[in-house]
Amino acid sequence: MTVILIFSILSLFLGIILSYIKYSFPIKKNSVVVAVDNLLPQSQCAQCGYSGCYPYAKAIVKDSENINKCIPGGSDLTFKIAKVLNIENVEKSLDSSATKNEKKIYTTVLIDEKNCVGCSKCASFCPVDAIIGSPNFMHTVLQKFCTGCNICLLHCPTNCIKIIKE
Amino acid sequence: MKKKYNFKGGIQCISIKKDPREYFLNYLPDPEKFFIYIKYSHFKKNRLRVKVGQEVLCGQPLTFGDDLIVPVHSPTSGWIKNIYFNPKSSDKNQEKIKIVILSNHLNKWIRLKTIKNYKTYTPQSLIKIIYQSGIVGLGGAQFPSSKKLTLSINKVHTLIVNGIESEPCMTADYCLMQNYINEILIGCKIVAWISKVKDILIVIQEDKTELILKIQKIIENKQLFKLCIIRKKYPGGSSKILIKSLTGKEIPYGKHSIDMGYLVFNVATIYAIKRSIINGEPLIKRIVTLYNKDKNILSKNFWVKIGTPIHFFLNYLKIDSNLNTLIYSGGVFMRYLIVNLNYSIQKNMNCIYVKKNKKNKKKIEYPCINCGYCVHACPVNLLPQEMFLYCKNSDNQKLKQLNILDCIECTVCEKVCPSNIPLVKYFRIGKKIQKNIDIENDRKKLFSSLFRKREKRLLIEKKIFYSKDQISNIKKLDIFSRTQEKEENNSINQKIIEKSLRKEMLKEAIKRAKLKR
Ligand code: SF4
Ligand code: SF4
Ligand code: SF4
Ligand code: SF4
Repeated sequence: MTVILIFSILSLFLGIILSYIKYSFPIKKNSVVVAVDNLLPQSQCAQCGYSGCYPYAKAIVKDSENINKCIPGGSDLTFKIAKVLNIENVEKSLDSSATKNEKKIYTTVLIDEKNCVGCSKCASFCPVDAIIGSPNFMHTVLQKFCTGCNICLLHCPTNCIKIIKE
Repeated sequence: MKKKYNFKGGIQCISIKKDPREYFLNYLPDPEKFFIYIKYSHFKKNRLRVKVGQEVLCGQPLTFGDDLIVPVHSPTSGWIKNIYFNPKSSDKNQEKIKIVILSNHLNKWIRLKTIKNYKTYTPQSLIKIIYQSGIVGLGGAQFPSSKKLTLSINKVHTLIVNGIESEPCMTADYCLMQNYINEILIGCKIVAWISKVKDILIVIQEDKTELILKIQKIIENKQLFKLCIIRKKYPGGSSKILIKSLTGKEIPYGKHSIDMGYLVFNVATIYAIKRSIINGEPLIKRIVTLYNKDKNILSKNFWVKIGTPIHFFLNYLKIDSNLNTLIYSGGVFMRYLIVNLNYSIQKNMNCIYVKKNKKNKKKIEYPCINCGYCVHACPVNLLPQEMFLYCKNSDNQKLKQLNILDCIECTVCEKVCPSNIPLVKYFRIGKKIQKNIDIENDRKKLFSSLFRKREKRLLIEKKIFYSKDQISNIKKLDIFSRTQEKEENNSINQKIIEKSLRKEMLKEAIKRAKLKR
């Protein structure tokens, strides 16, 4: 009986300490950054110049980075972000040519398997591990996981990766 | 008197004056050409089995099928005249391959494999036969029955046989039940044996008194079967509403009736399952109701082969399909305008509705007057009035809260609306947007989870690499020390050699000095 009592009191104290810690040191996450991050396509392809989507979102909010840098999202995304951040006259404030890029989210890529030399460059650059294969053997794309960011296209030495629209 | 089941909302419709001729089955001669449409996409393996110019027999499979697409069969004997491929259309659900088959009017069948005692087969093999016969839900959903049955094994306790046609002009299923009730009951038993259900409920509307008496007589001494009578109201045929009115339970969006333990099949599907297992016939024909609104006499039921062009069907019945007539697939409430008359009868078309086009009587859309008629009429307890408001303002979050995806597009709210607002048109757009949002969110979740997995993998690899590195470092050190030793040895040797060389040089110098003397 006493053992149970001791342990229950102990757990109560620990609970109070934990809740106090949670109260005094809350996990800080900027809600605007999260909102922008939710809009980004999460391809994590680093074509915007940042290491992933979350850093880019952070840069947009904190360092007022240009909002038209995400290539897979295209101009649609630019307008969406502009709406969240209450930026008016997006077309005027950005280059008109840059705002017209096409959305690439719903595309996937396909490897021409005959020409693949198996250098595995594409696989090491794919941010979502959608390419499988081992060095010196044929590589192939898992269509289901491909985000269509087209990073792999830039790294293939034999130009055997093609874009297909879904 | 038996209990009559009912549901909230819906509209009672006056049944159209029935012509006794409606319940006889009429046959249609074979047309010259059949058009078969096949779904195709890059990512699925639904491959063709035939070539241009090849001879085909009646019931020969034309495609291999996929796990979501059942094979398609030739409705006639003849030869393949042409195969068109239309990859341009961006719509994912659209059929992209069109096969033209020229009929030779002989109707030679392939050899059919009949089964007398289906109980000697395992459920899996029976499901395989059903898959190979190309049977899909003939009520309208076109969901492969084989898939439904595989999902339902050991999960359902009740089979609901849906014999309801709530649309006032449709009589195809009723006609089938009148003529082939014994075969349908055998089909029920087959399905019950496959998915091991304990009850079979046959659901019929109250006004089909003749049929009710007939079925009651047959199933009197059978424990398995039960007859349920439902109020004549639109819409009763939808499986969601059917289950709700029979059991009082609601199926939320994204769940299937199988998850609740109910397996719902249309009578026509059950008939097709019986034909495919006992007689070995693949699904190549179905009953279609033709309903001509202006000439009520012409409403009849026909056995039509799947793939018959719609213009042939209309020509045979001497319906002129000019600009003054509108032709819909589906009934009065749920209908889609057929634009292309070269389109053919599909597996899910159960009614063709012909109507005169009255141009002068154009409906004007008035603003919503908040009368609330639609809210009372909606059979699934939605709020069409508010949904319409948010659809117009495209407030997607509010639409999700109002469960717009639960709407079954029954068009009841549209029919009762006094301001002539085409509500369902708005809801369809809203639903499409909702679905796209959901898909996109799912993709994003998948991608970010994949990215995190990759980072984890890279971290682990790095760890392994470094731990390996330490080992290799030790080895390297080892090798280094060894080579150093070797070098030392070599240097010692060199020193000795150098010494000896110097000695020899000295000797030679001494010799030369001696010689000079
Ligand atoms: S370019 Fe777009 S998808 Fe790629 S990392 Fe940057 S924000 Fe993410
Ligand atoms: S396969 Fe290529 S396009 Fe697809 S996600 Fe990987 S890197 Fe991007
Ligand atoms: S980069 Fe190109 S050649 Fe190299 S493995 Fe990938 S597909 Fe093959
Ligand atoms: S169309 Fe949708 S909202 Fe309208 S009554 Fe039918 S289920 Fe309700």
